[in-house]
Amino acid sequence: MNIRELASVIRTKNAGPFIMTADIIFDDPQKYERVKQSGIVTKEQIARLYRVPLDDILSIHHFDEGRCIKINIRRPVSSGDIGDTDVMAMQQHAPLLLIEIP
Amino acid sequence: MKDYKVISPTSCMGLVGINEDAYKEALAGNPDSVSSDAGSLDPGPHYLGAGLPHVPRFQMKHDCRVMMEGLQHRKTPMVMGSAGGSGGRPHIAWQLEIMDEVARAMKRTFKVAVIDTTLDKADLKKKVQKGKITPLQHDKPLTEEGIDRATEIVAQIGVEPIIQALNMNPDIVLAGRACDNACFAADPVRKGYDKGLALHLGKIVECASAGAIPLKGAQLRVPMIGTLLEDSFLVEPASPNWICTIRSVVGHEVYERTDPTMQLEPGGLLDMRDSKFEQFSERTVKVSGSKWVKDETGYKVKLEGAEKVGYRSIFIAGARDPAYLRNIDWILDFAKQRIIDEFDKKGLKSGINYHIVYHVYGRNGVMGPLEPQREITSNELGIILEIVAETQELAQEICYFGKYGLVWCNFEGRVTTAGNLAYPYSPSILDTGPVYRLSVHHLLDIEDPCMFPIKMVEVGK
Repeated sequence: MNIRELASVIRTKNAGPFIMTADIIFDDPQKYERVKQSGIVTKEQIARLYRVPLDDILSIHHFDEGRCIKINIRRPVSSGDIGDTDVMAMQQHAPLLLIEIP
Repeated sequence: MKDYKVISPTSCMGLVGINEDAYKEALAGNPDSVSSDAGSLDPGPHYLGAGLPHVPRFQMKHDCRVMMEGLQHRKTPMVMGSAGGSGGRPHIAWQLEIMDEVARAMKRTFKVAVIDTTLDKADLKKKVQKGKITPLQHDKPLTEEGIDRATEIVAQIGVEPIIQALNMNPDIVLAGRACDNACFAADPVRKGYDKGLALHLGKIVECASAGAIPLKGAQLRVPMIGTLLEDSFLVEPASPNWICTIRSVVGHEVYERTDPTMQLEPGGLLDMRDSKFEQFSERTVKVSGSKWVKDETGYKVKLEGAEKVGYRSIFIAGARDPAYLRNIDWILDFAKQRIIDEFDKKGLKSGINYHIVYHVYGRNGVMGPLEPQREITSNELGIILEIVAETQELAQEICYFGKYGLVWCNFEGRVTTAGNLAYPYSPSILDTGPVYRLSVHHLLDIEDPCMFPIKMVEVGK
């Protein structure tokens, strides 16, 4: 099943000028558990989706209280520097929409 | 200990505009203080570097007026943080001027305690020599040359200097660059409330109703009310058609943060790993268990600074011919190489004296190198040719030269002999001015958390 059918929020945003943070948030606790238990959201998987080296995926956290999977990714360039495409990193979530959960 | 009530009128002063009716309703509940922070690095390095605000002046004036008029009948401590957005000296001057205009129109004077958070460059260089400055997420150490190149370096202050300013008994505290939650926590901490809870409360309410949910027919944004108790705090939106739920509060907690359970603060750490969230009433969430952990190794503040890296000119155009789209990579390379060859003859090197950047919307304009989809499925492309060069004149010259490469190149299958691109503007090249890079994002170890000068200013005289 596609992640979009399970999660209620899939977004990215700056977390400081050098890091963008992706949140996948679930309304339904069962759906959250299903994705968490699937073990699909890994650094390797995210690095592949974004076509970046594994080191650029800084961390992945599961926050049970908020039913949120958080992925921290190093920005290709810092916010607003020459070559940046998204100063606030608000539209960098599309690769996450490709995640399929068995 | 009596309940302590704080109001957050808006997420960021001057951004969306305080909802005046909802704010008046909130004021009727007799708050102990009102605070707001105008700051963010989110809009990018330009505003700090250029000394300019990131919000429209009329909206900042509206918010200043609403907050200052609300002060008229009561003596409630009020803290405005990160003046003018970036909290530098030009930003403070800009906001003070607006506050003066508002006060004059009200025919009233206000005592404003202004906290200067801009640091002296000579002092900072001594700190570099003593190894007191370390990178924060930044990949390079701060050097003395780096300090010189930054237009202005500000420190993001915690509660201590704001408490010092509040103790001078002003009508309003106007801080330079400040931590948003410190603006809310300073007065309650000064009055003996728990620092961990006060800072966590500030962190939730600082974005006003961003941590709440609108019901049908609700206003765009409304203020948020936080109430500190001895061992917990409550958060609720200021309007009956907005509600706080555990989901809405926790959902906001994760926003814009790499780790919502731990937050570095000046002089320590806000530890929220054991925080408990309860639905206290239909519209109110109760939070407890958040702790302040003092940094025993010293008191560190974050420094921010931006340096000018050149001047930008851009050419915006659209392509509709299917053959142009098919050959887009060849065309972009051709126009780029043509620039490089031409300016090489003048001794100007790409990547050193100037930079060439393409943004191709319809291909990977939004995500650049991170875009996973490689094939173009659109019937048109939006192209921005961007040049950043040492001077505005040079940027414009190179951009014009580059434009003609894109507009008149002979790509395979070309039938558009009049010109290859549609551009919406005359002039076709737009000079957008100086470009800044966030060059200082470091931690400074300081001895005195209250090292920042505070000056009492009277507005409306």
